Amino acid sequence: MLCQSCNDYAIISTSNGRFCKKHFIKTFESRTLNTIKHYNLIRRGETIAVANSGGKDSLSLLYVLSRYFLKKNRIISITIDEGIAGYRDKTIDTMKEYCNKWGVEYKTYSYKDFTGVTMDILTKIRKGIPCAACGVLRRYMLNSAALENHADKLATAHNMDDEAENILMDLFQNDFDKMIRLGPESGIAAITGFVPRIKPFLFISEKETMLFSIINSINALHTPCPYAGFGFRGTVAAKIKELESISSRSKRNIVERMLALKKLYQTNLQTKHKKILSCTRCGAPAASELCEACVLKQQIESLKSV
Amino acid sequence: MVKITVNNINFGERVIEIENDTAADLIKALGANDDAVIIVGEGGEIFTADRKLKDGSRVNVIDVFSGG
Repeated sequence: MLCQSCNDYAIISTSNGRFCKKHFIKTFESRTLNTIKHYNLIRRGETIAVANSGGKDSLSLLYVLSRYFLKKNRIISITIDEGIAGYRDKTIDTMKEYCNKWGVEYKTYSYKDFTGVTMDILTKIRKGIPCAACGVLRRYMLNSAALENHADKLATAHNMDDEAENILMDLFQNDFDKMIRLGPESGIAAITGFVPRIKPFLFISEKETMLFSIINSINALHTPCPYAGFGFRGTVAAKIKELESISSRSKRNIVERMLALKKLYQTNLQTKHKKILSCTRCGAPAASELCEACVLKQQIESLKSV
Repeated sequence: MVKITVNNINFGERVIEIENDTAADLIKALGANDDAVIIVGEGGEIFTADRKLKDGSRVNVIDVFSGG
C-alpha cells in the first residue's frame, strides 16, 4: 500500500487516509491544529494546562502544543500521581524528561496527598471497579490543579476512540444529556470553579497517537494501566476496534453523528442546563450538596477507620 | 506456510505459522484486528496489513491500548 501523498510505502491506513511516515506526521499535526482552529480551542495568550500522565497520548499532545503554542501561550503540564507502583512512577520519570526537553513547566499532585491513600491501597479497601473511583478523583484534581495554576483551559489527550467509547457507553446507559455534553470543548457554560476542558485529538484515533509517539521516538511506556480493562469500558473499547477493522470510519461516524445531534440540541441544552451547586465541603462545582470527589473522600475516610 | 517470530509485551516471543504471507494474516492468526495492533519489523519499519512478511522474519506486535 502506498502513501496517498507520495509513492513511499504507507505505514498506516485508517479512515483518515493512508500515509508514509513523513506525510503521517504532517497530517497528524495539521489535523490537530485544524481541530484547535475550527473549534477555537486555544486563543493567543491563554494559559493551557495539559493533563499529562507521561503516557503516549498526553506526551504526543504536549509535543504538538509545545511545538506550536509555547511562544504565544503559557503551557503547563499537570500530572496526577495515582500511586500505582511499577507503573505511574515510571511514567512520571518519562513526563519529567520530556517536559525538560521541550521547555514546559510541570507540576505533580498525588491521590495520597488528597485522600491519604494511593490507588493501590484504594483498590484493596474499596469494592467496585477501580476506574470509576480513579476517574472521579483524577477529574477533580486536574480541575483544581488547573485552577490553582490560573489556567484558562485544561487540554486532555482524549482521542476519537475515547470519545466513541463515551458516546456508546452513554447511549447504552440511556444518558442522552451526558452524551451531548461531550465534544471538543466541555464545560463551556461559565461556571465559577470549573476550567473548560479541550480535546485537540478528538479526530485522531488511538492507533494514530500511538504510532505518532513511536515514530517521534517519544519513549513512553507502551503498556496500559494495570487496572485498565475492567468493567464495561474495556468491553466497549475492544468492540469499537473490532468494528473499525470491519467497517472503516465507524468511530468517526459515531463522533460526527453525536456532534451533529449536539448542534441540533444546543438551544435545548442551554435552557435545560442543570443547576450547578457548590460543594458544601470543598466549594467545587457540584450536582448535589457534596461533589463526587468529596463523597468518595468521605467513603475512603470511613474505610480507613475500619 | 510462512513462519514468523513474533514479540509482544503480553505473551513474549512466539513463532506463528501463517498460510499466506501478509501482515493481515499474521494479525488474524493472533486473534487481533488491524485497528488494535501496530506491526514493527526488525529494522523499525512499520507494516500496514497488506505488506508481505518474509519467511523466518521477526516482528514486534504492539498492542494499541487506551489511556496514557
